[in-house]
Amino acid sequence: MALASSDNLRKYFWTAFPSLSTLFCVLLSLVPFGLSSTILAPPNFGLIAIFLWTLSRPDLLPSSIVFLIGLLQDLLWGGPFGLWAFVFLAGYGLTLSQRTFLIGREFGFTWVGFGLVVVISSLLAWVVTMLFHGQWLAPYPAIVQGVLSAALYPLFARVTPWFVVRIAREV
Amino acid sequence: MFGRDSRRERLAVPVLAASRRLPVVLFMSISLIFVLLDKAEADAFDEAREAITDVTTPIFETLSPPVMAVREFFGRVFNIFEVYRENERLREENRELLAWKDAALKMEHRLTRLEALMNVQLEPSVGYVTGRVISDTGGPFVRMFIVNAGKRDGVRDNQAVIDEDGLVGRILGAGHKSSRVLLLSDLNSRVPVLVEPSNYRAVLIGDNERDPKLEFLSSAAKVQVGDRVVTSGHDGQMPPGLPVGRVSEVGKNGEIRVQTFSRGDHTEAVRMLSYKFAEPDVLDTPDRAADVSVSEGESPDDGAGE
Repeated sequence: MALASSDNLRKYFWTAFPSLSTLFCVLLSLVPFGLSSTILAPPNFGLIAIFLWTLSRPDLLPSSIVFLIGLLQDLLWGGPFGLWAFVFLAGYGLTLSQRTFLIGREFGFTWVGFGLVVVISSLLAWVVTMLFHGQWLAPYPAIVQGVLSAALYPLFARVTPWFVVRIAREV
Repeated sequence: MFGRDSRRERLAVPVLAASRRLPVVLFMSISLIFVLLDKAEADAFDEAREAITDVTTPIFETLSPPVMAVREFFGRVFNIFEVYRENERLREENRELLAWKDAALKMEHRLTRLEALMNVQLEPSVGYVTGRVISDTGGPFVRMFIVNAGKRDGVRDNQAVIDEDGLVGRILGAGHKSSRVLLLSDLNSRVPVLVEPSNYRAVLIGDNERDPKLEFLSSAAKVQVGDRVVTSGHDGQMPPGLPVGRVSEVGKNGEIRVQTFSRGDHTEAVRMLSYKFAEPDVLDTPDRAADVSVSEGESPDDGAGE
């Protein structure tokens, strides 16, 4: 049993890897790159991770984890508590429902798919925030965040297959 | 082609989809309930926010310095091209400032003499805690960052936060070793200010735009572009007279916007000001005596403070 424990640990790590990497992406969005002062909002890295893992390994990223990571983002980002949990789950549900349609297509196709998920997520975040505060808000910070997220998507999409192969081998 | 298996599969797909969809819908509903709770009770999740900020502080303290170093390096590279012009500008400014220094020294001398004549009670000096910015704003509709100083360093809720240029915002929630700073442009930011030179009272309100707006200004007030805006201290939290910004826009519909002195893009270190309003000594004493006799064992400051 003692001999097997390090193997087990490795297995647990790779099983949890989609959740851990999504968590890391949420933290990454708060690292002070100096984006928020000049262009008003950093990319929503968490949403990129959720989209990619929902396509490749939805069994390792259950909705409960998406919910918890969303709540963490809410605590860290400020604003209405529950907003990003709601938006993440909406993006997750949408991706899950279109998964068979998106999977196995060429890169550009899934990129457009992610673009649509970003548009709907940003729209939701914008509307819920306006309802919460009861006032009109200029939408451009959400647009900037959405465009940045979509622009950085290829970078994350390129490294994900490597991890997917690794997980398939280890788990 | 359409055997029994494929029919079973076609039946299984919607069932499977529904079983996956149900928890998603359930968790989405819980999220919305949280949003409603947050709306009903604004500080319901404050403790959770402070706890999570404290927990993640070591992570951000590790991740931030290298990023800051790279930013600083590029900043310096670009600065080299500006050195000559900057030097000329500073020389010019220095000449002007020397004249101002002379004037200030004369004024200070006069002021101390007049204060001595009038027996003015001096306000207690403003203390400060310096902290490093370790996180950026995340959400598109929130203007906030985290500093690595908290209650253990003397930071308290609602303290004014300044950088080298002026007011940055205020402490929204002080954790043990980290605090969240609400910027002036945030939707929840309200700061009582004075518009110089006539000292019109107003409130600086953030609406997620770069320049916050001035509201609750008396209709008789005449405000022009370029007028300086300082804190008034009327909230009982911030020291009066902190530089905030300049009026940048006076709209035809009466909308007035203020360009803040602090641009927020190079605020690596900020200061949290602790400031206690001077209490009138003469009126205070009997109150305190009464308080001590009524509330047994409690500190007299709790009763008389507000």
